[in-house]
Amino acid sequence: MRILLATLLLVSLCSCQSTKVTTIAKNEDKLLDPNSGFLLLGIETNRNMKFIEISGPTDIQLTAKDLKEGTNYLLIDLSAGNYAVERVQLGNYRYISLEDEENWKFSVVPGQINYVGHLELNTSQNAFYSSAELVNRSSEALQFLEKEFSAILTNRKLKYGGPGEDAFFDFISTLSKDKYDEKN
Amino acid sequence: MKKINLAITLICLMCSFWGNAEPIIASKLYATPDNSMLRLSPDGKFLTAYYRSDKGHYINLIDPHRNKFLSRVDLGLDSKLDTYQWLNSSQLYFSVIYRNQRISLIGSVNKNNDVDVKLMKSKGYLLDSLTGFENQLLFAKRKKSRSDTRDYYYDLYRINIVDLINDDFSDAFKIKHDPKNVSNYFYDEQYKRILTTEYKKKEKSIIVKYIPDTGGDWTNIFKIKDYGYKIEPVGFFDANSLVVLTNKNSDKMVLRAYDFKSKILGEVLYQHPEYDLKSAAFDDQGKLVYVTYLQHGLTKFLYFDSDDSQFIKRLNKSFENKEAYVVDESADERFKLIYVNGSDEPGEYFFYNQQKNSVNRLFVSHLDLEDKSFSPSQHLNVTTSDGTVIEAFLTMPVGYDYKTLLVMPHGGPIAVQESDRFNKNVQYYASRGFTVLRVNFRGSAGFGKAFQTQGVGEFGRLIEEDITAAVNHVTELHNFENTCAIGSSYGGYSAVMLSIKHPEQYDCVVGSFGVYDLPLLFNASNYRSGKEHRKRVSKTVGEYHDDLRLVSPIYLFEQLKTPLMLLAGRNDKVADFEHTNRLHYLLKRQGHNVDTMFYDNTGHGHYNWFGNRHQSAISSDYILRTLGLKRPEPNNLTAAAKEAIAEDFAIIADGYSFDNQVPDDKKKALEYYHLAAEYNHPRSVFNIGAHYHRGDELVKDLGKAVELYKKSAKLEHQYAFTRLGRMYMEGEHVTKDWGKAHQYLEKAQLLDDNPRNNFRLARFYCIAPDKYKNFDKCLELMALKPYLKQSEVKHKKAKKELRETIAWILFEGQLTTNEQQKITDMAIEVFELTDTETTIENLRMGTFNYIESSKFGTNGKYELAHSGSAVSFTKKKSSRFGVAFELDVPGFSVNDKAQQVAIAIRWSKTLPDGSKEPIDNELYWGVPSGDWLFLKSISTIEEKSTWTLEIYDMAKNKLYTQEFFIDPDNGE
Repeated sequence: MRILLATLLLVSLCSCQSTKVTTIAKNEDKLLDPNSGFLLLGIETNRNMKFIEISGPTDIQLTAKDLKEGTNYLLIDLSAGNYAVERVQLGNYRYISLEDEENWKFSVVPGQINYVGHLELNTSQNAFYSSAELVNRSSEALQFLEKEFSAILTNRKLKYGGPGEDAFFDFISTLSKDKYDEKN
Repeated sequence: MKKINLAITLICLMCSFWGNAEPIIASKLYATPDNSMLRLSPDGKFLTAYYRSDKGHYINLIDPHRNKFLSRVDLGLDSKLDTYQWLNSSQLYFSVIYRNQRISLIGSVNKNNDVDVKLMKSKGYLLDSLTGFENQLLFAKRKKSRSDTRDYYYDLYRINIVDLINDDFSDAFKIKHDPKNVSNYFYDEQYKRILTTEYKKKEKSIIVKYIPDTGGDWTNIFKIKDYGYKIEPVGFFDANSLVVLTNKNSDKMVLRAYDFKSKILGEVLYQHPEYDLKSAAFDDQGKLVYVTYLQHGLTKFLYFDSDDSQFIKRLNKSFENKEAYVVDESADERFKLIYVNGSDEPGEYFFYNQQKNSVNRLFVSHLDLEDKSFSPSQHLNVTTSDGTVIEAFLTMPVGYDYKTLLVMPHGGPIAVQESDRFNKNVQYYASRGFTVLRVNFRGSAGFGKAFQTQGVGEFGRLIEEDITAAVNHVTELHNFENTCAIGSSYGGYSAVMLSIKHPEQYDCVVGSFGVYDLPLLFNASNYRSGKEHRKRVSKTVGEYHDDLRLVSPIYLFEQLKTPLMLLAGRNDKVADFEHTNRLHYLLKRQGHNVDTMFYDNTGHGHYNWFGNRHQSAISSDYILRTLGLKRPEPNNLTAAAKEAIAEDFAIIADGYSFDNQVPDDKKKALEYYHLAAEYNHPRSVFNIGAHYHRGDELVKDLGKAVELYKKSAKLEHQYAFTRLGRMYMEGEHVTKDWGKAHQYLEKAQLLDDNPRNNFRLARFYCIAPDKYKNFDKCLELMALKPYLKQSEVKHKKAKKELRETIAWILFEGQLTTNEQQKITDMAIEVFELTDTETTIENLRMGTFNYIESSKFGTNGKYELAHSGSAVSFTKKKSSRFGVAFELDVPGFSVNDKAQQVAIAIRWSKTLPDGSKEPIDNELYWGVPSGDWLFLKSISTIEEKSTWTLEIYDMAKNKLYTQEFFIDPDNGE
């Protein structure tokens, strides 16, 4: 795991082209650009984060509003393509630079909800040590969508776009929906 | 004869429900040993033991010949002994962990048999006591770390003990060597070599290397790597070869020589026909002394010297069906320390005297278990359908029998082995009336490579067939009315799979920290899905293939019909929580009833004893409820049995109540406290009273609360006494009665002299009318020094508790000028105050709102929204009422951080009927500069009331008083 935990000693030239994004608030499916899909990213952190930078067809920046201590979800519509988490800004000066890009890539497929994993961040009290991992927590993501964004979930295929491969969402889609609705 | 028989029958009806054995109290079973790390001095004159209790951690010095306690070293509650050894017959070295730092101590036994302890200034650790060099030892001295890493370097010295204590290395012999890339050092006394290991990241191997103890260049002797077979160094065989345990070119782990110059494995020195060897020991002449292996679940020592062999035979005969072995001995081997352990023996120590040919019992490892009866295990050989013989252990209850079999597969499943040693989980269930079956199925360690390899990739297949063969074997021998499968980790998976494969056989399942989606093991995260990770996993699970779904409970969930409980740790990174959550999601979706317990801040297993106790309590509760099995009525039980069952309920309730790893559920907490109260659990009775007192999940009823407190007091619970004492002292719900208050508070303090009980009694003695007032006792009970002696952590907590008591005394005490001064002096000393008089400035009073900061990383603050004493009710949780102000003291300078001042705050509440209730009495102290805020939440106020705030300084000058009027019916 190559994570460079660094202190910003000089004022850096930030990725000013990054588009600041925030999670969708309303449980309403919207007309997407044909070349866009929904990105669902879980974030679990033991302290508030300042921002996260993600590079790709559109460079985006997740802001502090969506990076509070605890478990957060980010659901946004995004241009389809391959993305990578680049940097996690812990505070005003300390950040994690994720240099092993191959471990931080994910893909967004058009027209679908792409769950790409939970970014789990653990920072020591003095912010000197940090760990980061992108973990497959598909069932929790599904439960979140069922509770908060059922309208979008009903209309869109849910796809796993995170590390490795996983047939869980496909398996769920094969199960009898009627039986589920009746029981719930 | 008939009359006698009738009498016997009647007597037996009154016997304990459990007969000879009874449930073991969980907190006594799942506990750290009281006595551990026993050592003999080289001359056999002394025995030392690490003893831990609630009051402290000690090294006890004992005369083993008379089993007489001599003296102790008090390490304090904040320290933990890491390791220690005798340097010679009168001196010891201790490595202690204190506040996360390792410190070294040298102890010397003086003529009074006390141990004088000196703290070593040098950081580092003892490498060897050098029996060949009198009063000299090898020490690894830590150097300052390099600035770019966290790693430390060590210089190695041969040094005199006295010089080491004095941190004087001027005469020490420095062993020249290259300290780079070196981890821990080890010493081989026979060949006078210093060894170490170096991790080679690229090669993924560990190099073992040595230098002579006079210094020099490192010589590599061994590489530890994943070769597909095991090879473990034991020690030097001769100057150019090692003794290793290996299964290269053999099925079993055997003892062989390894020439590290030619890198050739030599002759087999010893092998056992049936079992893997676990360890071996050689004497100074390089002669093989003994080998060990696990036979029928117990460690067997095979000595090669005839005298040693005879001794072990006699030992085994004296302690049949137990492990008995020498853990330490004197230098001349005339005196030996023996440890005994077995399925029904938690641990005992004995002292052997060769001259007298006697073995004397010293003490046990767990004092609370000394007089308990345990269930022994029966070793079974089971033949599977393909003719393979596997081993199993059956533990039947000694007392009451629910005729319920718990099939308990072990974790792993590869390279893990069930033993017949004392097993806390097994004894927990057996003592509660369950039969436990454990199996060393194919894949288990100890029976050779072929046996172990046969389990690889057999999840849900051969492994469960082996377990089923064992289940069928025991069900033919015994009549069980119920069968459940219960396991952790792989055991959790196996328990679920057993019930899927044999639904007719299982009545319930408990799966803890289990894996339920085998492909997910290969795809857990970005760092646990790559080629290397998958290769590692495949060595246990088999090749990564779509067929793994055929044996994954997730994809078979519709076939799972058995009632199921799932437990998991949310932070588990071995069997990720995702496995359990998926299975839970699918079963819930199907309408299958699943009980769950998901532990917060918990990984792959528990990090404290509470977790273990809770898991067992909630699992056994689930099993009993699901199977419709009744616990015995309280009247049919002995006190100990009642306490065990009561405690099980209380542990479950505590989990739901307090700030721990179990999610809160007040309703369930109350339900289980009631169950515990039926078995007269004193604290549970008190807690129910507290629920009535607070109106928490129950309609507020102070009369009922007092009734329950009194009931709890009859059961001798200290909280009940302290609560009743306070209520009578304050006149809360009851008429103020100093006599009763005194009686209750004194009793509480006698039962437990903790800070709360001491300080509450102190308050009484300071504020009571003359008939009861005793100012000297008041001061004595508030002393903090006794807590500092035990533990700094305890002292800090006590200091916090003292704040309330001093505030009460300031507000309520009718003290003389001299007495008042003594209280002030105490506050000055404890809180390091520089000033006692102060004034309030820049006062803001009214309703405050919390304003978030717009700047990241900066805290928000409370700002005055409306000034005035009439407070509008609001449901906004961030709204408060109260005051904010600054303090001024004579000569105060903003830059002077050393100035410390204190004020006493009292909040009280008056209801429309005129009744007054104290809310807070507290002392606050700190630097005068900045805002001091005293605010109360508005949204939590339930009734129309007047809230009064009073503020005094330490000179008992009234600084401020204010009333606030709130009516929840008027507002938002």
